[in-house]
Amino acid sequence: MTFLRFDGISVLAPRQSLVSEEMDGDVVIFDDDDGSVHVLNGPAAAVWGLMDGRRSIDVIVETLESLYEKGRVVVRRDTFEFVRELIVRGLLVETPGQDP
Amino acid sequence: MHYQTGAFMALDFDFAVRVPELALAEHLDSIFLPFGTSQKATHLYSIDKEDSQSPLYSVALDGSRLLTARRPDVAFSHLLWHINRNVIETSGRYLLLHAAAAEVSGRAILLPAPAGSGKTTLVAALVRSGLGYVTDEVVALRPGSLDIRPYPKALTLDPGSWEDLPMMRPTVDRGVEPFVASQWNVEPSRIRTDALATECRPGFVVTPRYELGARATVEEMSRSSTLALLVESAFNLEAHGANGFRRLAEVARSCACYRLVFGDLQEACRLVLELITHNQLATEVGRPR
Repeated sequence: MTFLRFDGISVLAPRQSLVSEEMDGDVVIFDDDDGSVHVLNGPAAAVWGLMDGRRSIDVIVETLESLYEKGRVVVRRDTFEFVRELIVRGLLVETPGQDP
Repeated sequence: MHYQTGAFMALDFDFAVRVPELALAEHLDSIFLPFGTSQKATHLYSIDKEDSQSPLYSVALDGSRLLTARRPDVAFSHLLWHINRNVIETSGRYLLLHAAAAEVSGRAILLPAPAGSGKTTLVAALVRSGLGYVTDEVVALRPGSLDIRPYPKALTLDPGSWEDLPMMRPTVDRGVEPFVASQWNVEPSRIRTDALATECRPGFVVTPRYELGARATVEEMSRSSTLALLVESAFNLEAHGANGFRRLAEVARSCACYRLVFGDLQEACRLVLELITHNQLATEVGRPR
């Protein structure tokens, strides 16, 4: 069942059946369970790269803030929207996590 | 009276066909010429004509009926479709892609696209221009080396392509004509006697899309889009799993990747040949001396 409740301290990671390849700054994700493929471009690829099952969303937002000069509010809003989409697509799962 | 073809081995599928007319057996021997083998065939297809007030044609494999049709061309097309399907199903050790391909200097130009995109007509035109013929339907990648084993099946040209390639109309015995009325099956050596490619490596990915009346245009395609396309084009990625995906990523990284839209076959062919020349020159310039 898809969970949609998450907040800044949530720690998320790619589902175990996913394999990803970085291609010229984009990320291509293959789901070995159902054969589906997903392409993430630009900032979406950067967010995906940070979803390692150790960083909380707050930590990820801080990292992105330093990469993109958009301001914390905008980066936080965009990140949350994107994470929600990845959860709906079934690509992310919640983990106990540990901040680095 | 029945006539049996020789035995054929197409990738990992071996078969022969038994038909009610000698001319039809000879026609099948001709279109499966590249797959001839001296080994005994494991599987036997048959087309039987059932005589009644209006004749019926049945297609069977190893004695099990697959289809019965009133029209001989429907039965014949189904036979060829079924053989192709069994080639795909029995050749799982290869990573199989739904794509046409031609070869030049040991490098393959992969043309992955859905049915109706013009990949068969384009590969036919490229082979006519001097490139080697790999396949018009199934690219068979060896997962270890990423070399391509050619699958040079007869090119299947539907009526929509006949006007562009009238010279490829097969010459068949009058008795065979009813069987091939709705499809031309062109044995590659009819295009050029030396048309068959040998094993080659992926060098280009060009995804074609035919659009009526469109001016031919070509644009670079990102490697991520190329990889997604290759994944979607794979017949049997579920059998190769994550390793197969990584191998396709290697293909996308090693190839020059383009999208081609065309309405005129000759223009499309010219553009692809220019891409090849341009990339070969770029490779020559970039090569360390």
